[in-house]
Amino acid sequence: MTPGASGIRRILVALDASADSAAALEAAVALAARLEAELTGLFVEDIEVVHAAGLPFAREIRVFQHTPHSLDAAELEAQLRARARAIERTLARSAAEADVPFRFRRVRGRVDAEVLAATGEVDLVVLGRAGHSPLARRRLGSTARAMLARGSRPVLLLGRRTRLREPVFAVFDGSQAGARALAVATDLARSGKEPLHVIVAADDDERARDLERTARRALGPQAQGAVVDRLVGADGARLPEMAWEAGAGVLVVPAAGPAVADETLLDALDAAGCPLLLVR
Amino acid sequence: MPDEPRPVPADQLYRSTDLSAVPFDTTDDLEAFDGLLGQERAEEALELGLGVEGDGYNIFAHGPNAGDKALQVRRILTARAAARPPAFDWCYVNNFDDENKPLHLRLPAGRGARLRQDLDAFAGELQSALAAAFESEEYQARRQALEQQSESEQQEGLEAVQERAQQRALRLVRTPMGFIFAPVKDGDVVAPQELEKLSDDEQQRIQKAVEELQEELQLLLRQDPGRQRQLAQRVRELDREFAELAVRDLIGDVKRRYPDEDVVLAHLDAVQVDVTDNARTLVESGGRAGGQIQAMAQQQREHILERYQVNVLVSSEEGDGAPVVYEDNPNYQNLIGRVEYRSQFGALTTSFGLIRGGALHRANGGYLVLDARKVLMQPYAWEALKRALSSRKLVIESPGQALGLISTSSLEPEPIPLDLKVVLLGERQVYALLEALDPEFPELFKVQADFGATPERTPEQQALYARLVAHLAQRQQLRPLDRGAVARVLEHSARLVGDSRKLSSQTRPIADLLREADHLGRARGDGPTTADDVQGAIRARTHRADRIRDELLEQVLRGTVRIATQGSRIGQINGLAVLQTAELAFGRPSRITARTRLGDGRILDVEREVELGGPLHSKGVMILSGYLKAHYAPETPLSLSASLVFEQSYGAIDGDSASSAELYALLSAIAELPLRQDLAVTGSVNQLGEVQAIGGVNEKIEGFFDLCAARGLTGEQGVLIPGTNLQHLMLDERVVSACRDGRFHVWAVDTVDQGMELLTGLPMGRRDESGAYPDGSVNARVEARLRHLADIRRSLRSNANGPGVEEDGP
Repeated sequence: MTPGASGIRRILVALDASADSAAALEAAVALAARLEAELTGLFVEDIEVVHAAGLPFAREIRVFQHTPHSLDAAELEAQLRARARAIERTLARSAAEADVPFRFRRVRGRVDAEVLAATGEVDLVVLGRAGHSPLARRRLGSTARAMLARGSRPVLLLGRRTRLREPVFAVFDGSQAGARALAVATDLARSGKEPLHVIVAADDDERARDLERTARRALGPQAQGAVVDRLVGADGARLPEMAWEAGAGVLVVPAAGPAVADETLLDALDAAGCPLLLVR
Repeated sequence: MPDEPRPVPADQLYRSTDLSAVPFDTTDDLEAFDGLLGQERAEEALELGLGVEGDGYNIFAHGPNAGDKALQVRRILTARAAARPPAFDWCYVNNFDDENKPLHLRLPAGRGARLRQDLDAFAGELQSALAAAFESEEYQARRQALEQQSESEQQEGLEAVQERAQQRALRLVRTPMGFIFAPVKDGDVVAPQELEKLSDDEQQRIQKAVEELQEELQLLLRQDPGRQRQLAQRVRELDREFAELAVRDLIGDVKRRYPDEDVVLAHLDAVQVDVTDNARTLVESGGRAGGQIQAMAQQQREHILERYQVNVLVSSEEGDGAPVVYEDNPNYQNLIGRVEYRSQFGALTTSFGLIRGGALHRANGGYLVLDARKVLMQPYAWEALKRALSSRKLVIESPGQALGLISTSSLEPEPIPLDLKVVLLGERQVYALLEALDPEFPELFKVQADFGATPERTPEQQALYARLVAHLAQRQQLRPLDRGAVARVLEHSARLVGDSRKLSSQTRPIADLLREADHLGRARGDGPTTADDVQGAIRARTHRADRIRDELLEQVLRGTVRIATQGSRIGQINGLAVLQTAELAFGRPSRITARTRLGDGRILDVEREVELGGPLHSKGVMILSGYLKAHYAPETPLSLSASLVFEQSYGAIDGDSASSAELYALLSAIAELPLRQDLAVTGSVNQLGEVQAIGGVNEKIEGFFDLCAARGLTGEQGVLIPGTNLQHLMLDERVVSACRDGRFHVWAVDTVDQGMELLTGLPMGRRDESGAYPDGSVNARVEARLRHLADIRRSLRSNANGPGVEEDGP
């Protein structure tokens, strides 16, 4: 398949060997295969961990072996190297299976900063909703938050136990980001196995009708099989639920649009039961 | 004086068959009779054994004709079985409490196979039903709620620790394997070199705070396994709840088909519980794990599903009769069943599904027919059969287990109650041996059915026999036999048992004869098989087997073996013996000679001296001396020494059928009277001089006839037979025809006197009033000679104290 309207050619996936990142990798490989994009796997060695391990009184409390364990820098380095190798192996295997070209990068620094820095060279970032951070399970991970706050690229965010699949749902609110969301969704839905769903979000019926026309024009030939629903004057928070009820496989939303305020994003992700692709 | 011996009329030499009461032209007109003749006693015994309910009323059927007996037994059993209800179906199912001890189910006929189908279908639908339950939104939602709740608990704990850490300017940092508390300054973890810049107090404060928090974190993490267990437990309960819902309808469908079968319902309950316990394993595929783990998961699922199957050991259909089973190879496992094993990852494993039933299972509720000899020849089979019959239980165990030689764990299937009749088939000797040597045998086989009876040749039996011939011909798809052929077959049957008034109950030789006669008849042309065909077949059959007879006859004809068939000789007579080869019994003339001299009254039996004579032969010879002592000069000691020899006999001799011949030879030697050599003699004698019946009379007559005929019949030759053997005569047609023409004679004699008169041509003589025998009589000459010898002996003894008589003893 040739590159589509979305122009996504390079995909970055942040990997840290957590369960969420494994889901992210799977989705990133699938996307890269679908869009014929190049995949870059990024493993950031958290500088905080390196610093912490270097402190004279640093003691590691292990999850299963609860007695404090003195962790020196050399041991930590070894652990990090092992982790990087494991991640690279997994990436290589997944990419090879899907016949996707890939690169692997290992950097050291603040995780959010390094990921953010790496996004400058790519068209799409794929993230698990939280990494290894012990506190992120009920919250969006710090990296994801940094990406949403400061990033300029579309982000595909995967929740726990979610997989990227069809049908593709896109939210169109008339904004520029909305137009790009439509373009990305069109690319994703090009296999034609399942129809593309477009949810037109507007304050009133008239605007909704206008937007629907715009959306159909934007879709071009793919408008034929597309399903368009209108969401008029409703709270944006209803969107993810609608997607879940309709069995959405991925929800493409404009980043500044409804339902994606940072603080509610996690709820949205849980409610939708499928990955969210935030388009700017 | 006894009656004059007369030649036996030709019509008494062979009893022809009178079938006038049976109207038929060929056997096609007869209703075939497929049974055994004259075995009413055995059949009554069989009916009794089968009819009596109670321990040990099993049957041993013995008799000479194995094939016919087996057929007849099975016929009777089949007829009885057809009137009885079909046997139960027996199945083994998994014992969910102890897999090593499978349980049996007893079901009405036909239900076993149905239950197997029903449970196979159940197992087939089970996985999809369970998968549907576990994939349902309701299940997923409830499971996520459980997991989230559990996670939240841990999360809250961690958050609390983190909060306290923050309050003390510390951060909880995740390392690849755990957690570290590190001080924070300006939002970042303090680097080691920065730490050194802090004051000692500050560093100590940090260290203390870290240590406190570490303890708190340890405490928190220790609760984690417990929480995981709790979560797992809750998830299991959830699984169970949904599995139960999913399986209830499925199992309910099966249950509704067996409303009255309590055992089935109980088993289905157990299945239901087990499915609920194993539901999760049944739907999980091993996830994303590698091939081997997936294969093992698959194998585990298959193992679980296999446990819901039904192993039907015995199944019959509604409307079938009770089973009649004949096990041709009654070895241990074929009798009581076995547990098979299969190789799995190099180890041998087994399960209730690999239990295989034996003949006892198949015959349970009916009848089992076994060949006694075969059972006894198979290691452990006899003991296993007895154990099953006496315990009335079928325990499937390997011979090693039964003998206590193997103690590895194996299956112990629940014993099946046994209710059947066993009919053992065998020879009388086997029965006698078991009776004598096995104390359990009479307890377990209380009824003997004796198929050894020889049917009477009555008109009714002959009519039945004709129908039997019709059956044998039809069964072998032979051409029908005409009346003459049937009659000839009947006569041959009588000849087979050596008795003109009996018939043979063996059908195998008759069936063979019919086939061979049919073969000859076809070569001859169209039409039914005739008497000539039968006669031809009998001759051909004899001819095939009589090489040895021919060679022996040739030896006589060439003079190698000396047998005279004319003239007269003193102290020499033709006796008759019967030789038996595998296929043929035939008579053979044998020269017997006697020599006498002065002695102390002993008769020397040379055959006994060299241990070629058997005890019956010796007994016959001893009777002779009893006869001599009683008949002649009773007042004087027997002063004679005699020796008796079977000339040119190089093998063992037994039986007393030559004792009359020996007596004639002895009397001839004593009286110095020549005996006719154109006669041969058979018959035993008693001390009173009566001639008694012997066996093989037909073969003996024919043996001498063949020799005479080969040398040319003189018209004087013949055979002396005991009068009581007349009823056994079924002589070959050549002998009968020679006798009819006066070219050969069969003489029936009842006493030694009659025989002696025939052989010497002189009267025997009776004591007159003075006690003396008339002059010129045989007896007078014998007595005179004996008195003479006694006189000599007396004179020798009274002759001073001279040396005694030369002893002629052993």
